[in-house]
Amino acid sequence: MKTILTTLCALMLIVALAPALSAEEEKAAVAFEQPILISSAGQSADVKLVAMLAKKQKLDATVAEMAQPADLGNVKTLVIVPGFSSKGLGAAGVSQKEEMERVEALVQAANEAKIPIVMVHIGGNARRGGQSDGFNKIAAENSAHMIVVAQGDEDKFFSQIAGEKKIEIEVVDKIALAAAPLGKLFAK
Amino acid sequence: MLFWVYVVVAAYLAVVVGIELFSERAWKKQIAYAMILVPLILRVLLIK
Amino acid sequence: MTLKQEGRSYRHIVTAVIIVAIFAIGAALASVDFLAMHRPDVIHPSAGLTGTGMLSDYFEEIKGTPGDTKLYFYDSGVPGATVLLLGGTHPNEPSGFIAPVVITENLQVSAGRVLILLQACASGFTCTDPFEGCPQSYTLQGKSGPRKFRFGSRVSNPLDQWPDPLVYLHYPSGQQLSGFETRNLNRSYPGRPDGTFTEKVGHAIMQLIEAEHVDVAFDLHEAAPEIPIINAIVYHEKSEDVALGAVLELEMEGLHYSPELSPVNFRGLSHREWGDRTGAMPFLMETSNPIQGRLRGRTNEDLIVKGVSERYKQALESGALRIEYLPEGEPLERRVGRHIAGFKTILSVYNDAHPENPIVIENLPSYDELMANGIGHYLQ
Repeated sequence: MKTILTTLCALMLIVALAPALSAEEEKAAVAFEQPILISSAGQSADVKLVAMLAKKQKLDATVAEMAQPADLGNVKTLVIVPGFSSKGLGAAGVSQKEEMERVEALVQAANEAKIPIVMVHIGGNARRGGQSDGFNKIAAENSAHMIVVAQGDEDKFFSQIAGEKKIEIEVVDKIALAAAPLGKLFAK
Repeated sequence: MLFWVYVVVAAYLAVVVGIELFSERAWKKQIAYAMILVPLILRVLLIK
Repeated sequence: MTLKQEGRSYRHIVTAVIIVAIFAIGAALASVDFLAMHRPDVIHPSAGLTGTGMLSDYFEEIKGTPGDTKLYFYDSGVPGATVLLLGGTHPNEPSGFIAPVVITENLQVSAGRVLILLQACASGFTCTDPFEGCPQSYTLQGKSGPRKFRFGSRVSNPLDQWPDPLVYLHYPSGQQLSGFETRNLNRSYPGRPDGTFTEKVGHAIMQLIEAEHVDVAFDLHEAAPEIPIINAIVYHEKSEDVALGAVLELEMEGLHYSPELSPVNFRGLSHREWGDRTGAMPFLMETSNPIQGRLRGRTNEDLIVKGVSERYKQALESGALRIEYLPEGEPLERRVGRHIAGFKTILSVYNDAHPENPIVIENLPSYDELMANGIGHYLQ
């Protein structure tokens, strides 16, 4: 009797934990492969810095600040660098609304094509709050992995999203220190 | 050229306001005229 | 003499004379202050100075006008890059002027040469902006005693260019801006020889860049804390690699700068027109200065130098502030330190990218040294 009860308890525990385990397995199963497309959400020049970091890590990455769903083609991973820049939007010749629509379409297309998204936020306070957080939110919530420079997460904005959505997050102290975790994602 | 036209206009206005100031009988209004007069004169004299 | 003659009263004439006399005394006293703004700031260049010139050497027509301004040459005699440093484009942005002053009073160059135009908008140093209540000057303690510097206007003095149009049409793009911007040097480039006073100054600076074959050009500014481009390096697309490299290097030193690409469709600015029309790589740097902010409160010399605004602090503590503002404020040391660190780092990255055309500068304080010792330690 005692054995049966123990077995039943063990079975119930396994059944109860099963969804969580499979979710964890699913997250862990996300494979970040190359080629990579790096795009902006908000048109800050941070996207160029991330491209430099990717280049230093010898990753097969192309940069398209204004990437469209059609650019996803044979892309295996989408890296989004969020952060609002009025000068960047001016340089690209788009309004904030048009930029948000583009980002939404790009994220949706990546999700449909099961292309994992990596969010890299390196702009610190300057790319937080105000007009930036709309872009930060959509990029963070749809990502499978986040790399964040600590100053941008002082209020735990990204950590909270990561916790709620069970997204892996790596917080680094400086921009240059974001290069290694980015490279490591594709080293598997 | 436009600048000097502007200076002449400012000088003209200063004279008109000056005349009004001296023909005005209410002292409170005279003060108001004087307040208007000061920047016009400073601009005509190229001080401010 | 009686106040009545033939039934007419002359009392109002007496009051008019008294009022005019009182106002005349007030205006005369104010005029002394206004005219003091025309006295040039005293600069003590370092021993590295090899020559001086005037901006009018590059465009004769501004000679003897309030638009003419002194140019300082630091030529090492060793072949290398030519760097132009512009201070005082906006004379109400003190770190954009004091950082070049500190550089002028300490710089040594051992390869290439550095040209410094300390007061690019010399006319703007002769007045303040109306309705802003800003002080006309501020004092810093230098090694030789107190040093007084003018706090001017964002734009050329209306005495030198007036009236403003309702809409400023930028030449040659036809871009429309508010009329006030017609006197803004950093909306005037490339300027034109037969244009307005400010356009002529802009034209002279373009001529200087061309004639001296400037390779790298800096334009130093400040902005209100609520402006999104504070603590930024704005760069032309051809300066991109150097700008981004510098941002990374500065970050390793603990100084965060936002890289900002110059918009192609925003005309008249140094980072756009210098890059498009000359061989120079332009960089514009911004720091954060509460005295330009709308929340600043009491507007005095202390706010310029210490950069502490109680109003911004209150807003920060209330949790309502959605912008970057440090509780300890934005002291001038920090703002000047950031500009000098940016200047040095950009040139260092430029050297790495262009070893065949080096620019080697020495004897400038680091950010930490400025914060520890204060600006006065580096002023004569």
